[in-house]
Amino acid sequence: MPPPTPPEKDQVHSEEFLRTLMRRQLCLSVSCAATFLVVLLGLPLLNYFAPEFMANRVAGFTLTWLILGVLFFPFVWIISWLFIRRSIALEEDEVQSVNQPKR
Amino acid sequence: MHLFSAPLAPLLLAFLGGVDPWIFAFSFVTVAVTIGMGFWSAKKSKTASDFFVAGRSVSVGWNASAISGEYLSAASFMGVAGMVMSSGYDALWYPVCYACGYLFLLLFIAGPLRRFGAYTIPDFAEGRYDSPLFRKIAVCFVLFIGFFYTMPQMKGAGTTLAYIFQNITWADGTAGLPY
Repeated sequence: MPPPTPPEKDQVHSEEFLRTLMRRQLCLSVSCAATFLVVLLGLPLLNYFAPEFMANRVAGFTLTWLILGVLFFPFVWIISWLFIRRSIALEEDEVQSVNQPKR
Repeated sequence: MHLFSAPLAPLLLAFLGGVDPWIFAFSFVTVAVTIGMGFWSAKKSKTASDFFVAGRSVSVGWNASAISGEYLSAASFMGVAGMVMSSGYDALWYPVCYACGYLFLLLFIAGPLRRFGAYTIPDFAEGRYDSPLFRKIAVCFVLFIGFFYTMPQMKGAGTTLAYIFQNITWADGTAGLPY
């Protein structure tokens, strides 16, 4: 049984493919982190510049307590969920783009 | 020091006399079950994959509850509750932000580690940079962080136990655990 000979242009194992793959995943991570940081830094700014608005009572909490103590966790959960979905989609996309020319 | 100088029989009597039996029973069962599970899982896990990710056989829900169990430490139950009680809103930032640390763990560490096929940061450090020395450095960081994470947990457990046993009266007339 001869060992499988790699095709002349092995796209999966090329340095270039690895770099685009890593760059796309990093872009996704950075954009998710940026979304989170906007809210994280936006909340104290809102507290500082719009204290009356943030002191409104919503469901028994003042708005600022509601956002930091309750709404922050579903927000982070949604970011993680989107990240995982996009990340898996990216991987499948890459697999497809590699398999396409062979067929 | 009177904990060690007291003879065993008065100690047992003191346990039964001064402590709420329900609290004592629950603490005892919790400690016993934890130790038992430690031995049981040590017997079950054979490979590195078993040890770190339970052979990848754990479903998302169980894994999430395991991570939540790590999050709900003495710090969350006592430290953070006390901090929010005494400092209010300003202290609420602290638990929220350390929960959000998991987001950054997911975005920048978990994905690359998984694609790399490493279970721990030292594994990754050695594999990526091909350097056993770098692995040792990473292990030092892990031990440093682990030590300063465990120390306050032990202090928290000590505080809790001291509260449970505060009604004990010892043979020499003193009360509570020496801590």
